[in-house]
Amino acid sequence: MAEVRVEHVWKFYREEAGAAQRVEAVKDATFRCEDKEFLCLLGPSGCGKTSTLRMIAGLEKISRGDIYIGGRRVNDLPPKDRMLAMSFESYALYPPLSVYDNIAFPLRARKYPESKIKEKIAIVADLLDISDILNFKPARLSGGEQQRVSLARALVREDAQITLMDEPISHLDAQLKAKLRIDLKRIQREWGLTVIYVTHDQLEALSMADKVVVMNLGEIQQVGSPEDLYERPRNLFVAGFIGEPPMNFLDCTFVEEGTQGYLKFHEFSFPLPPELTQAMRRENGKEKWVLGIRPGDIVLGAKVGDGYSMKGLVYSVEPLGESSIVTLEVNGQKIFAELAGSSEEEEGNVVVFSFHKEKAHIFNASTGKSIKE
Amino acid sequence: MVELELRNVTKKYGNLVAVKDLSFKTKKGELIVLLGPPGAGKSSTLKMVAGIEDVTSGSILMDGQVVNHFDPAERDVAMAFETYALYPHLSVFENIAFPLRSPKRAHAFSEELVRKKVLEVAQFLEIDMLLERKPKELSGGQRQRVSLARCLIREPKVFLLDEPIAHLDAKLRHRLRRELKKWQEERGTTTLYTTTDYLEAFSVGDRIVVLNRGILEQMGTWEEIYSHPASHFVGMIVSDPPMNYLDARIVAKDTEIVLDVKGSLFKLPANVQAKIRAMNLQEVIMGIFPSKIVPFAAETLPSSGTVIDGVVKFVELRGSRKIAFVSTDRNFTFTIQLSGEESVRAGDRMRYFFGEEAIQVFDRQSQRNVIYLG
Amino acid sequence: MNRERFSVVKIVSIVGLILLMLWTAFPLYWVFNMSIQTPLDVISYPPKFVFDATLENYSVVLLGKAWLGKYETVQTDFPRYFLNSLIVCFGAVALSMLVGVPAAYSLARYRFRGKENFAFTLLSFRFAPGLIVILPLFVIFRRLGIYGTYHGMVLAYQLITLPFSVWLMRGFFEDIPMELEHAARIDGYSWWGIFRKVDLPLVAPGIAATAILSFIFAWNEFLFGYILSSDVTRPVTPSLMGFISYEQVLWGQMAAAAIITLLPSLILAIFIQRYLVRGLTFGAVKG
Repeated sequence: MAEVRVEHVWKFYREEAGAAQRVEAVKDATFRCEDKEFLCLLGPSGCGKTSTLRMIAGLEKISRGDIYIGGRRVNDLPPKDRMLAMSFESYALYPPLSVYDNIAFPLRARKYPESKIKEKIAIVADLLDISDILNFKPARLSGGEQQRVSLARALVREDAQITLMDEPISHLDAQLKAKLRIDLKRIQREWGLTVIYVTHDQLEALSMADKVVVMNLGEIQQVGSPEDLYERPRNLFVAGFIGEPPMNFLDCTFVEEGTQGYLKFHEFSFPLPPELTQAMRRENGKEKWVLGIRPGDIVLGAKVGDGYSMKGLVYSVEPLGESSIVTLEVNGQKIFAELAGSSEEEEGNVVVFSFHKEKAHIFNASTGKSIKE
Repeated sequence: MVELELRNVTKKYGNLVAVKDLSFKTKKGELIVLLGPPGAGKSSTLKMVAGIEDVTSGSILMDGQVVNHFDPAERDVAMAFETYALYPHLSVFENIAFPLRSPKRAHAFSEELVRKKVLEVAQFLEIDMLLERKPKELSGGQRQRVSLARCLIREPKVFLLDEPIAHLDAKLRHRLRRELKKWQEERGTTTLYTTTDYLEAFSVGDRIVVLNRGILEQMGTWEEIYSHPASHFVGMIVSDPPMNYLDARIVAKDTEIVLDVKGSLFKLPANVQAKIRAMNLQEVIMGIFPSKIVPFAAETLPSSGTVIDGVVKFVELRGSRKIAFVSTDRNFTFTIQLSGEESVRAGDRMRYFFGEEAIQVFDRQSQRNVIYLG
Repeated sequence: MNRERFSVVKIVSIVGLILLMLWTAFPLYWVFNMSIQTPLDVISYPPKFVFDATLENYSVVLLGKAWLGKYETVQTDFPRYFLNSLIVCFGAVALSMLVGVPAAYSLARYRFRGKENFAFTLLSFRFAPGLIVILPLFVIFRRLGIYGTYHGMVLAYQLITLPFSVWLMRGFFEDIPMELEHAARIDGYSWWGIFRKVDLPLVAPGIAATAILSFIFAWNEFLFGYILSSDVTRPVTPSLMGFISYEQVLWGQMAAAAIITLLPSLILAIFIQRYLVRGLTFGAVKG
C-alpha cells in the first residue's frame, strides 16, 4: 500500500565545504505516514520541512538515510518513477495551456484516453469549484483560482500513491483558506488519499492532519496527532508554536520548603504534587523553569478549585466576536487570557485569575523539555 | 484630530471599478478599519485619501474642506504601505528619519531630536538593533516594521495603515495589535486601517467599514456588525469557521412565520417575522454563526428556538475549540463550534438548539439582511 | 554511469570554449605581435612567432622619434588624435547623459500621446547603418559651418550614444517601484526632491554603466569620425588610416597605434562589470 517511511534521513548543503561548514538542513529525521493518512510537516521557515518533502519527491538527493514508499526503497528512483502527485507553493502552472489542459497534462503524459480525462477533470473541477474557468489561461486567473487549478492537477492523478503538497494555500486570503481547508480534508477522506502536506501555519496542521511532524532547525521536535501536540507538547518550541493565541510563558524558579516543592513566579507560589517535586528535584532543582499556560485555560475573577491563581492588572480588552482576549499585566509581564463571550472587565481593573493544575505545562528552561517527559 | 469624510468617491482604473460610490465619515480621532478580501478597494481608498491616486469622481474632505486637489505633502498624512516601499539605498535609521528631513520639516528637527524620535519608535516596534542595516538585509517582518516606523514617527492629521501587521509572526501580531491601538489612542490621530482579518478589525477598530469589490456593505461597531450582518457577504467575512448558510422558504405555521429548510422548521423573532411579512418575501437564506448553535441535552423542548437532531460527520480540532460538521435527517449539514472540553466524535448522534435571536435571514435575491430592508 | 557522462560533457564543453577563445583572441594576439616586430619580421612569410621584440613602433607612434637611417619617419600626430577622441567621446557622453537621463525618466514615469512611437523612433536611429545618413550629414555640416569642429562631432555622435543611453536608463528608472516615489511624496518631498534623493541615488550605478558603455561605443566609432572631422579634429580610430601611405603600409606602427587605441575600451569594459548590478532595489518592496 502507499505508506511512506522516512528513516534517519539527513540533508546537507555545501558538503564540499567540509563537515564544519556544511549546512545541515535536515537532521536524522524518522517518521512514518500510513496509508490513507493526512500527515503534516509543520514548522517555521528554514526548519527543513520543504527539504524533507523534496527528498520524498526525489527533487533533492538524500544525503544520508533511506526513504521507502509502499515498502520500496526509493533513494535512487527519479521522481517520475515514484508514483507521486505534487502541488507546488508557486502553483507552477503552464502559462500557454488552458486550465483544462493544465490539469490534463499529467494524465496525457501517461496516455489516458481523452474520455477518461474528461470524466476525471469534471469531478475534480466540480469539487474545487473551477468548472467555469476550464477554458481560461493561467494569466487570467486570480491567485485563489490558480491555487485550485494547481491542486486539481495534483488530485487528478489516480495512479499516484501519495500526494505531496508544499504550502499550497499560504498565499490566499483568510476566507479562501478556510474554505479550502475544509475542501481539501473532505477530498482526502472521500478519495482515501495519502497526503503529505508542508505548512508553517499551525492552524492548517491542526485542522486537517491526522498526524503532525513538527520541525525546527532541521530537527523533528515532536510527532503526534493534533490533539497530542496541543495537550501534551514535549518542549517549549512545540508548546509555543502550536495554538493561537500562543501559550503564555512565565519564568519561574523552583523552591522547596521541607518536602513540598513550589514553583515561584514573582510573589506567587504554586505548590507542586509530589511526583513533580521529585522529578524537578532530580533534575537539579536549581534550574530555571518555565510555566506554560494557554490563554484559553485561564479563568478570570474566581479562584478555580485545585488550581493556581494570581492577581494582575487588566492592560486591555479585545472583543473578537464570540470570544475576547484580555491582556493582563503581572509585574510588567503581559499574559493573554482568552474568554468565551464578551468581558465586563475594564482597563485598569485589578483581577484575580487562575487555571487548573493539569493545564499547567512545566518546562526546563535550559533544555526546553517538558517535565512530564 | 481631523474629521475625515469620503463623499461618493469612485475610482476607476480604465474599465475596472475599484471603488464605487463610497461614502463615510469618521469622528475626530477615530480608528476606522476597512475590512475586506483582496481586491475590495481598501488600498485604493487609502491611496486616494493620501493623494497619490486621483479620485475619478466624488470628494475627499478633511474637517469639511475638500482636499481633492491637494498634494500629499499638503494633506499632512502619513502612510504605511502594505508593500513596505522602503528606500533601498538608505539604512533603516535613514529610512525612518526620511520624513523628518523633508524640506518643509527639516528646520523643526535638530539632529538630536531626530535621533531621539527614531529610537523611540524603533524600540516600540522592536527594531532598534537593526538601525544600521539596509532593507535588503532584513526579513519580511522586519521590513514591515520599518515601514510602519517611518509612518508612526510623524504627527500627521491622518494615519493611513495598509495591512500594517499582516506579515508578522503570530506573537508579534498579537502584541502589536494592542500596542498600535494604544499608540493611536494616546495621540488621538484619526486613522484608516485596512485588513483582511476580521479579528484584527474587531480588536483594533472603533468602527468598521466592510468593503466588497469597491462597495460599502456595512459600517458600524463590531457589535452591530456581528449581531446583525447586513448581508450574506458580511456574514461570511466576520466568521471563521464560516457562517452556516442554508436556503430556506417562508412558510406560515399557525399565526407565525417560520423558515423551512428541507422540511425542518425554524422559529424566528417577532421583529424579523414582521419584516418578512411586510416585504412579502418567499425565498430567503438562513444564516447562523457556528458558535451560536449549541448542543441540547435537556428533556423538555424549549419554548423559543428550534431543536434539531443530527449526526456528527467529523470533528476538527482548532486549539482551544472544536469544529463539528453535523448532518441532519433532512439532509442538510451545518458546522458548529464547541469548546475544546466537549467530547464529540464522528458518528455521535446529538440534538442541537438554534435560538431565535441567533438566526439571520437574508433575502435571496438582494443578499441583504431582512432587518435592514424596507 | 552518471559520473562518466558528466565528465565527457564537461570535457567537450571545455574544449569548445578553449577553441572559441583562441578564435576570438587570435587576431588581437597577431596585432600585438605586429606591434612589437621589426618591419622585416612583420612581412616575413611564413609568419614568425618567435622573434626579437622591439618597442620602436611604440616610440615612433607615441613620441615621433625616428630611427636614424633605418626607417621612414612619419610625423606623429597620434597623441593629438588620441586627445581628440577623448574630447569628442567625453563630450558626446556628457551631452547624452544630460539630455538622456531626464528623457528616460519622463518615458519611464509619464504618459503622453505617441510615447512608445517616440521611444522606438529614438532607438531606431541606432539601427540605421551610418552610411545612409553620413552623406546628408556631411552636406548639412558643411552648410552650417560645423564641419570639422568638436561641437559638430559631439552632436553627430549623439546618434550613437543617445538612443542607447535613453533606452538603458529608461529600464533602470522603470525598475524603481512607483511606491518609493509615493512614499516620498507623502513624506513631504516635491518632485525635484524625490528625483534627487530617491531616484538618482538608486540609478547611480545604472548611470555609470550607461555612461561607460556609451563611451565605449563612441570611442569605437569609425565612420562618423572619418567623414565629419578635419585633420585637426580627427579622432583616433580613423587616424589609423594614416599609416597607409602611398607607397607602403606601416604595419608595425599601425599595430602599435591600434593596441594603444583599444586600451581605453578594454579597461572600461573590465571596469563596468562591477556596475551592471541588477536588483539594486532589492528589499525596497515586498515580493
